[in-house]
Amino acid sequence: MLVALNSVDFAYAETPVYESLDLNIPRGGITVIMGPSGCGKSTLLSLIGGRLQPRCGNVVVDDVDVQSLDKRGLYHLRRRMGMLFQFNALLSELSVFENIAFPIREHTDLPAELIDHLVKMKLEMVGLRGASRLMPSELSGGMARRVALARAVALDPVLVMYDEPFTGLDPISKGVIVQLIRELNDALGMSSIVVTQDVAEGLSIADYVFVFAAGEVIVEGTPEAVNASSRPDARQFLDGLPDGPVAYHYPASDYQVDLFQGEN
Amino acid sequence: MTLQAKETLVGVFILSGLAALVWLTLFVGNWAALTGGAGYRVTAKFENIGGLTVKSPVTLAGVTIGRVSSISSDREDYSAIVTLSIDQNYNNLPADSTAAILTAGLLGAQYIGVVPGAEVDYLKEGDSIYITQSALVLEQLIGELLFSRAGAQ
Amino acid sequence: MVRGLGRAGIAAIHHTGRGGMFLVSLVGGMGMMVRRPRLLVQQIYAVGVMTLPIILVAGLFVGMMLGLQGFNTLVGFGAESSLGMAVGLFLTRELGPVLTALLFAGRAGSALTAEIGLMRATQQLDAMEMMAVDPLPRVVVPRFLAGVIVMPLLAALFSVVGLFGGYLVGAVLLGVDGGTFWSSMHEGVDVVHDVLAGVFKSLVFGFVVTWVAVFEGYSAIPTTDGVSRATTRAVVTGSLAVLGLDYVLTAIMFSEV
Repeated sequence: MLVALNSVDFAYAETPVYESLDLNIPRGGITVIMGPSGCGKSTLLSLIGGRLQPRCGNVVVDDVDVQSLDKRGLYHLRRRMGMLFQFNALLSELSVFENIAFPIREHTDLPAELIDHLVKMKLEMVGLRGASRLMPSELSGGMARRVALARAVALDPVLVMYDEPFTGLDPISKGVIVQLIRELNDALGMSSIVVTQDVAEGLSIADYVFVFAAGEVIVEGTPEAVNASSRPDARQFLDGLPDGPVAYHYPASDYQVDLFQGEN
Repeated sequence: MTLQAKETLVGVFILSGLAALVWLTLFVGNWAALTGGAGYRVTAKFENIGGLTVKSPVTLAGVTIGRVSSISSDREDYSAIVTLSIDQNYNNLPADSTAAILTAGLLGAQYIGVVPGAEVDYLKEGDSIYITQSALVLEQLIGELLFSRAGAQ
Repeated sequence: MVRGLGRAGIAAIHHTGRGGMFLVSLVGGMGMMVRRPRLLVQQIYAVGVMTLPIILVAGLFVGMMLGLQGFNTLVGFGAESSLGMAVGLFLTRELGPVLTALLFAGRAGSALTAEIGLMRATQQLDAMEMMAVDPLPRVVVPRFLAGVIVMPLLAALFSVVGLFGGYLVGAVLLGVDGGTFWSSMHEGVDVVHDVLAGVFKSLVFGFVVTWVAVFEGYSAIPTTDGVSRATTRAVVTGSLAVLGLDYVLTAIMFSEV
């Protein structure tokens, strides 16, 4: 197992998110975590990356207990992880080239020539080698996401985490990212965790799928197995049905009473 | 703007800022008062020093020859003891010179004016000036004026 | 309502406490400045060179105003020959450090808060942490140090320009003798008590204003509303702190004179 969550309890202030969650993410391949908004998917990535601490239980990444690490140990672990943030989080004062070179420069002592080669290789992988001089503000949504992807894999990490990588992209860019995630994972021999709400894209690249609802796993398995699930809450999510276990109407009083009381 | 240009401007900025500080310190502030060269100390007693303060100038014929280095009060005769620090270059003041507290302009700061005497010996470190004239206090002047007018009548 | 006030008060104290701990954690990051001086230089440009024009213009106007007001007041006592001293003292002791600090808080301080706050809101700081780069020494410390270094330099330039403004109005326009202007200034402005006191003040102001600005940015709520509120809070808190500290410092430093 690459990542294991054991009996993890987590809550944001008063709101509980996970209770006694057990999760095992296999090494190699792409694991997709899906679920409706607010079910705590992004929180999972923060727990794995050590940005949040569980109240109980522990998170083990590559046989290392994340909670037991001090700051230096945590930074050491993070050098083997790459992360693609939901809004790309490119450093706005640096160019595309410098953004990708950033982790390389901070963590290695490689000579400038070698860094130049490395960055160009990563850019070529995502198809943006010609855009290396542009600033993040000059990039389209799809291009920015590809740059962020290149930056996430700059140090050839063991694990890459993608937080909603398909959100807000046009169909072409979406297709590009889908392909890139698959190709990079296989070419660089990494393990990937993709958190997404896009069912079609998620199922198309997954080797293993977890479907979450209300802080717990309701279905897991290969994409085919998950898609064949007959659980009503899973079905509502996978098929995109407007009403079902997740109610259409926000809880409210009786309609007639409300209308006619309002008139007075 | 290139990095080169920015760094140059930063250099210019820091240099001009430091230059401004230096200018303020040397040419606006009274640097001479701070570094006042070696001087010899002479005391003088006054009935009333008026607005005289430490660092007030000591002049001879209008030329600043030193500064007041300390002011204290004599416990026995209740007068003020003023210590003057006079520049070594002016070591030819006769021992019977007098010191008066004068005012520069109407509202100006007060200073000590030294008038040379006639003796052969010079003032040295630790000597005292015996003949002094205290500061003119406005209220006393007015009082004298009123009394003298009353007397004349 | 009293409860609300109490809650707000406790929240304010909590916020200040976090600010204090934040300041302490900045100390650890200072070492990097020696290894990466370029970061500091870039920030001195952003914070110092960019604020310079407004400081110079404001200094000129304030100096001219002092020359005018000073003249109008002193001429009633027949003491217009002391104009140089009045302008010199007011600028070096008070207006130089204080007005520079206020202008700095408004222009550079707000820019710092907005910049860091935006980095927080767009997850750039989180991304740095995930790339195992501590954002404090890399992003915050250079900006903080730049503010402290830059403030006394700006205040000195403000005073210098102001003095010339005062000379312009007093001597050139209103007829005070130029030589008298400069000599009365020279007589009246003491290096330690006035000039150095002003420099010390501006160092303290630089420290406080920049600390508030970077802390508010770093701890801003990562939404557009959160960042804009943090920015206003930084300017207001920084400005009030400057005025309050000015009183305290003045009372301490000028009490015996």
